[in-house]
Amino acid sequence: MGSPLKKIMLCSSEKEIFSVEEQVMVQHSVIINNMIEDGSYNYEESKIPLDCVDSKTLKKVIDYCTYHTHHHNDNQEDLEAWDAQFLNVDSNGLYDLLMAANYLEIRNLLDLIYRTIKNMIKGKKIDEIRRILNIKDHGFTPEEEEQNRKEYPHFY
Amino acid sequence: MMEILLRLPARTLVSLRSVCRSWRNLISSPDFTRNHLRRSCLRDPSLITPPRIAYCNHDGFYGGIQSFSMQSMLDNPSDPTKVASISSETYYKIVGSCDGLLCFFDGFASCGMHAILWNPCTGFTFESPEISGQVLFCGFGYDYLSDSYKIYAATKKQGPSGFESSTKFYTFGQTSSWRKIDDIPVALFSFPSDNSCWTDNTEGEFFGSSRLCTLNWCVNQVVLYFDLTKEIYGHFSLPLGSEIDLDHYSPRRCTHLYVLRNCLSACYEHKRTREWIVWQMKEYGDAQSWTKLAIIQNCCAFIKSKPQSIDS
Repeated sequence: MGSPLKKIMLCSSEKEIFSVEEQVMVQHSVIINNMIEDGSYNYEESKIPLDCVDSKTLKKVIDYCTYHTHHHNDNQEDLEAWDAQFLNVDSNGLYDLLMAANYLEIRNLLDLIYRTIKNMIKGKKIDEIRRILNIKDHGFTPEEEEQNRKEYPHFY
Repeated sequence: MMEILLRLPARTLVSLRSVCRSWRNLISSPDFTRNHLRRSCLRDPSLITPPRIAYCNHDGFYGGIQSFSMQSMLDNPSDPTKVASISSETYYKIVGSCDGLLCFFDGFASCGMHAILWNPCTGFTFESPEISGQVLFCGFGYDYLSDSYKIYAATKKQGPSGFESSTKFYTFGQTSSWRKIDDIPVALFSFPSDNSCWTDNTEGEFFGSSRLCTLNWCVNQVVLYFDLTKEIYGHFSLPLGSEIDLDHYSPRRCTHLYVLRNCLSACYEHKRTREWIVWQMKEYGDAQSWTKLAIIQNCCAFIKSKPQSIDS
């Protein structure tokens, strides 16, 4: 674990630099924790390049990690309310967050996103799910699609 | 995506198969089913309990497979609620079951068959590539060590110079195919040379533990087993207690193997007394550990086709 005062630099795909308390990222991100532990991060010079994470998403990820580091003693309900508010984004935003959390291996954020997407899908009709997840090409032939619709009309 | 779909209940997944092709492939894959089952059982251990029975219903030539819950049969023996059935214009042969999945062959020996893994709850099926030949021995099980479902089939086919036998092995999975493996070491058991019927149970009984996973057949006076992980054969003897008069006991004709309470068990009819005797092997592979478990009296003894209990 790093000292709480130390800062590390994260670099977004737009080359924007974010300075974050080391402990915040070490606690949440498996890969950053590994980097610090194996000594491959140099505090004077290193910036961790996150080429697949844009600034907007990186800022949100840092917000999430910072909040959960400083509020981990809050009661469960408050944390859940904050999480719900945090994930109140459109499906593209959610996808970007999922990719970032996956890349940085932030397990509790990943879990939160999985649960959120699960709830978006659960109990929905197929047409709705396709719209919500922006699935334009379902990959079925017109005949298969027709067959599916005939077989399970109540799913659509 | 898998992580998300794994969190949804099986009945929801039925509809989600139609969302897009990639979801269908994912949800239908045996890996997914297994992960989903494991997850569901961790969350709700009661899912493990309700046993079901499946049977082949051959009406004339073609048939189907029906599956219903044990509970419904006990509640209403005359008309148990059929929870699921699968049928088409083909012939079915049940191979075995584990984790609530039923494995069977469809089609005919002459024109090619497929091994099918069927989930009676969701209706999902997964089909193997084609295999041909008459099935002499088969078996289905789950290999804990490689974490996969496997099916074994020893077949014979009419070739230019008489019958040719071949033994194949298939691991259920998207890119997998039937693989030729060593035949049963025939010499070991002095089988009739034509490989004709020398066992009652062509479908091997699956015995699985985290240490060892095998398919077991009762052949002549021994249990022949096939190790699903190492792909090797072995054998050990059946219970032959001194009190059994060999004249009255013909294991070749009526010994059945089952797994009861995680122990391999052998059950046969005593020819003279008409009793069914159940033996349990306390320590798998150790022939000294056969223990007589029960004697069942006065049962109508002719079991024509063994219904398959679907273990979960």
